[in-house]
Amino acid sequence: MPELEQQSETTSAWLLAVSQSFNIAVAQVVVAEYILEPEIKLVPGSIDYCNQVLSWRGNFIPVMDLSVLLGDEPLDSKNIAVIAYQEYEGQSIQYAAIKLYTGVEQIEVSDESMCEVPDEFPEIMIPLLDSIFMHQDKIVSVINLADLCNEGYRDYILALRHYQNDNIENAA
Amino acid sequence: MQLVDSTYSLIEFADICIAVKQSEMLTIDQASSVELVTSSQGNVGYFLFDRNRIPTYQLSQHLKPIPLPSELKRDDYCIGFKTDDEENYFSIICSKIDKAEISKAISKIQEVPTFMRGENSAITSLCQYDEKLVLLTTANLLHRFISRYQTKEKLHA
Repeated sequence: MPELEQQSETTSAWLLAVSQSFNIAVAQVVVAEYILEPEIKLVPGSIDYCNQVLSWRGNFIPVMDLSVLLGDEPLDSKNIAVIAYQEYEGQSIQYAAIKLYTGVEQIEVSDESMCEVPDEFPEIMIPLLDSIFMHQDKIVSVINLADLCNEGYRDYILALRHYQNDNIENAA
Repeated sequence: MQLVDSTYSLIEFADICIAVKQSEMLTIDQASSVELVTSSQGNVGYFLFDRNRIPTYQLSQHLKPIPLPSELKRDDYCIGFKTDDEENYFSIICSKIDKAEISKAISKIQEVPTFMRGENSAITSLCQYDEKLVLLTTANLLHRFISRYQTKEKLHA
């Protein structure tokens, strides 16, 4: 994927609130479209944080709800960003949609805003994390979208949940 | 009625539409022929097919059996299925079934991306038909998925 567009010492990006308390930043070219109140459809039996699809440009694309992944309530579907990603260089561009808590916001990011991963950072996001920075008192993560849309990460989530359920059962 | 060809049938219930090969279907009948029971096994009743009582399920939009029998509508259908190995027979209630051949009309079938699939996911592919999202599945996968919610009794009564 193209790198974040360099503008002197800052980089332009979109800030996406993917839950009430978790924000990610993506390069501007990554957001293919921002859609208000799209019609999305359930695909039963799919993993809970990605169990819907959106009909977009003649194809169905997966719709992610990272709020569910983070253990929060599902978001409604009023705001959706269609994102583009590549798992490897040379692969055709893949698309997925992410539900948003609020609308998108354009921000400027600089190296100076980078910060350490805070203690309260959700463990479930660690495998996806590329970098993290502060923006107006908000912690903003840059995550690897190709990894998010990869069966390896889905397997990690399923394994983590099995492990947690086993611990709960053992404790009981 | 016996179904012998291998084209897909569209089956609608709970605001979703699934497609199953007709060759995996045993029979279609009025839902009124289902013997409703109160069961702890997830089924709402039994359907008599070839002298066998096969369990009947009413499924939610998440394909989970709704165990308590709601009132079946006069124009609901009951569709019987068999798995490939012919070991398991089961039936589901639906509100509509399109018996037209759709295999030729489905020009663009998309596989469900692997990273979307849950454990024992029953839906393999998606397509658009008549402005509806159609969820392609098989009797085997449906049976396996429903079985997750039923532990004490085999589906084949």
